[in-house]
Amino acid sequence: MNARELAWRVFSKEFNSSTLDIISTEEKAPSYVVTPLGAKVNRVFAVGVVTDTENIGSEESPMIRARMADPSGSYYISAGQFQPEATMVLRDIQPPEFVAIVGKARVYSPDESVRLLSIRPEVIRKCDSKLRDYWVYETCRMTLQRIDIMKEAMEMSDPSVEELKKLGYPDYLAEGAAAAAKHYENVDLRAFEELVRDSLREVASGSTGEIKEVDLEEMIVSPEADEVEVAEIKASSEDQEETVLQTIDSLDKDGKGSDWNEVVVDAKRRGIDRERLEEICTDLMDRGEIYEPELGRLKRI
Amino acid sequence: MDKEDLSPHVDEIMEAIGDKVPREKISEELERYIDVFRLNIQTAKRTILKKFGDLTEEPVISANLKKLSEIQPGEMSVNFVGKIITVNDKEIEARGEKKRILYGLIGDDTGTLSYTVWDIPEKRFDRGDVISVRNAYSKEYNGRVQLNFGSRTGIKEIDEEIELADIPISTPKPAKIGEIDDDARSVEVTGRIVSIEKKIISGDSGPREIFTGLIADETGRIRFTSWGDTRLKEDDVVCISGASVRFWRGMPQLNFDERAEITRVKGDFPDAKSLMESQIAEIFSLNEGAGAIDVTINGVIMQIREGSGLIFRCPECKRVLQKGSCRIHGKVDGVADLRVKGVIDDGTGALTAIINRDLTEELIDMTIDECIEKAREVMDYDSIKDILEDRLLAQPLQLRGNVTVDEYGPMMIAQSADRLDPDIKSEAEKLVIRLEESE
Repeated sequence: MNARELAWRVFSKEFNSSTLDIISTEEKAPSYVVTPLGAKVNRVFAVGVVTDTENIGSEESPMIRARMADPSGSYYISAGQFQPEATMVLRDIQPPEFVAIVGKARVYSPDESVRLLSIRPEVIRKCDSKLRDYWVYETCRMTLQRIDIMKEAMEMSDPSVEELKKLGYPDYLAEGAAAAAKHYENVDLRAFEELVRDSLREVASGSTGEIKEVDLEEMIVSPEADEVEVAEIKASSEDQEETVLQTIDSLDKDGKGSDWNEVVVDAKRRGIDRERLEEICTDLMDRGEIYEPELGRLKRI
Repeated sequence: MDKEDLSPHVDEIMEAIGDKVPREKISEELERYIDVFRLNIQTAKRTILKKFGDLTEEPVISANLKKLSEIQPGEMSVNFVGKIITVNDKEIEARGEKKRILYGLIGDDTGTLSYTVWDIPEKRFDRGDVISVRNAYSKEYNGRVQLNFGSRTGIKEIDEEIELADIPISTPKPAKIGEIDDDARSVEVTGRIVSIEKKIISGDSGPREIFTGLIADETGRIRFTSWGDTRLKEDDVVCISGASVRFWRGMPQLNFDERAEITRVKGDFPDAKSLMESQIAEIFSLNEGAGAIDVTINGVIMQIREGSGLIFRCPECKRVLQKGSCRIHGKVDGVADLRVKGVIDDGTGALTAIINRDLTEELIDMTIDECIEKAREVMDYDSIKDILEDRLLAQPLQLRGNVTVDEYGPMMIAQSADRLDPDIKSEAEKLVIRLEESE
C-alpha cells in the first residue's frame, strides 16, 4: 500500500527529545523519528506561534529558519529552495504570529554529540488562536493515548507489536511504542502527563493565547542551527553546565531546591537561553547530577 | 530514467535468467537500451531476456515453483504448474488498439485462481491441459489474487496429471456486519434491511431482476445484492445464512440468491435511524480494512490536490476535459464544475476526499458563478485552487460519505462536508476532569 504518511500531533518537547531514528535502506521508502512516547513520525501537523525567523540564505535564494512555540517548547522550522511556497510565507511573517504547519521530520546531526530535530514544511498557513486551541486539545488527547500504550509497553519484558495489538492497540501506535519501549530507558511518563494536564487547563481557562511580553522576551533568541553556532555550543557546553550547576546551588536558599523560574532568569543573565537551559537540565538530570525534589524546583544531588 | 528506478527491473531480469550473467552487465545493458536506444522498458527487458535467457526451452527450476494458494498479489515473477479449468477469449481495446486476450480459471491441489493471458501464445492451451508457467505476475482484483501472463511469460504444456483441490463447501460463518473482512467467504449475518430497491440488469440470458440495498446491525452496514426475489422488504430484521462476500474497490458486499437461508428475526433490534447514525471513525480503521459505507470522520485538510478548483467536463460523458478536449469526444464546450480533491488527516491516518460542487460552494462561501467571474477577472482558472487553499488548508472539517480503499489508501466521496467548530474550551475541561478522576 502506498498510503500517505499520517501527520502526527505531538508537542515539540516530545518531538525534540527523540533519539531513535528508523532510516530506510530502501529507495523512496520513508524514514521516521520515533519519539519517547512511541510516535513513529515521518510527517507532523503542528500549530503554534512563530517567535522568530531568520534568513540564513540570500535575498535571491532564501533559506529560512524559524522557531514556533507550543505549550511545551519550540519546534524548529527550516525551509529553503525546495519548499518555495512555505519559504515565502515564512519570510513574510512578522513574529509573533499564529501559524499552522504540515511538514516532514528532519534530523540534523553533524556528529554524535549534536542532534537537532526540525520540521521541513510542506504547508504553512497563518491562522488564529482558535485553531491553536483545537490543535493543543487534539495533541493532548493523542499524547494521552501514547502515554497509555507506553505504560503497557514498558511493563512488557519484551515489548512487541503483536503483544500490543493483542491488547487492542492499532498498528500505527503499536509499531512505534514497541520500538520506543526497547530504545528509551525510563521514559518520564508523569512529566508528559503533567504537560498534557497543564496544556488542557490553559485551553479550558480560555486564555486567549496572547503572548505576554515577558514570554516573548524569553522566546526571541536566534535559532542556533547554524553550523558555526553548533560548534560554539559544543565548545562551551561544559562551561555552561558548570554555570547552571552553580546557579542551582546559589539559588537554593532553604535546602529545598531552587525555583525553576529563578533559575531561568539567572541563567539568561549569564547568557544561557531557556531552550538551552532546558537541554542542560535534562542532561544533568539524566546523568544524576540534579533532581527535582518537588515540581518546579531543582536541587543538586 | 534514473539508474535507481531500473534496479527492480534488473532484479526481475536476474530472477528470470538466473545468475549466469553478472548483474552489472544486465544493468549496463538495460541502461543502454533505454538511454541510447530509447526503447520502452517492456521492450528493453524482453530484448535482454531474449539475448541472455532462453525463455521457452529451459526447464522450470522446481525450487521456485509455487502452489497457487501461496501466490500473493503483487508478485512480479511467479512460476507454477496448474490445470486449465476454463478458458475464454475476448476482444478488448488497449491504448486504442484492438487486441485478443484469454482468460479463465486455473487450479492445482491447493486452490483455483483466475488468469488473464495478454499475449496469446502460438500454441494455444485448452481446457483440461496442464501447463507450466514461468514469469507470470500477480495482481489484486476485487480482493482476490489474479494471475497475469504477459509478454515475458513462458507457457508450456506438460505431460503430467494433477489433482484439483476440492472446492470447499464451507458452512456459513456467523459474522457481525462491521467485522466482515477479506477472510470471510460465506457468512451468516443478522441485521435490519435499511433500504432496498429493484433493478433490472441485462444478463447473458436477457434482462434479469435483482434487488440491492443496505443491511445494518449495531456494528456497521453493508451493501447487498440479492440475485432474484428473496421477498425482502425495507425494515425487515432478517438472518441471512449463506451469503457470499465480494469486494468492490476494497469495499465488502454481500451477494445471495434464493438458495440462501433467510429467516425473519423477532425480538428487539435497533431501529433504522439509530443504525444509520454514523459514528465518528478514526481513519486508520478504514486503512486496515475493507472500506465502509456512510462513515463520518473529523480531520484537518493537509493538501488540496491537483484537479481541485474550477474544472470543465465533457457535456456528453462528464469526463474532465484536458486542455478543452475530451479523451473520447474531442473538442467540446465544457460544462463548468467545482470540486475539492483534498487530503484529510485525523492524526491516525490520511485519506483523499472528493468534495462535490454543492458542498464546496458551502465550504468556501462562494458560488460556482462567483468563482468563474473571479477567475475571468484575473484571467486564470487555476486561481480558484488558490482560493480553496486559502480558505481550507489546515482547517478542521467533518466529512461523511462512503469510503473505498485501493493501493493509495482510502478515498471518500463526501456526502456532507462541514467546518468543524467544537467547543474546545468545554471539551478540554471535560478531559481534565476525567484525568483528575482517574488519578
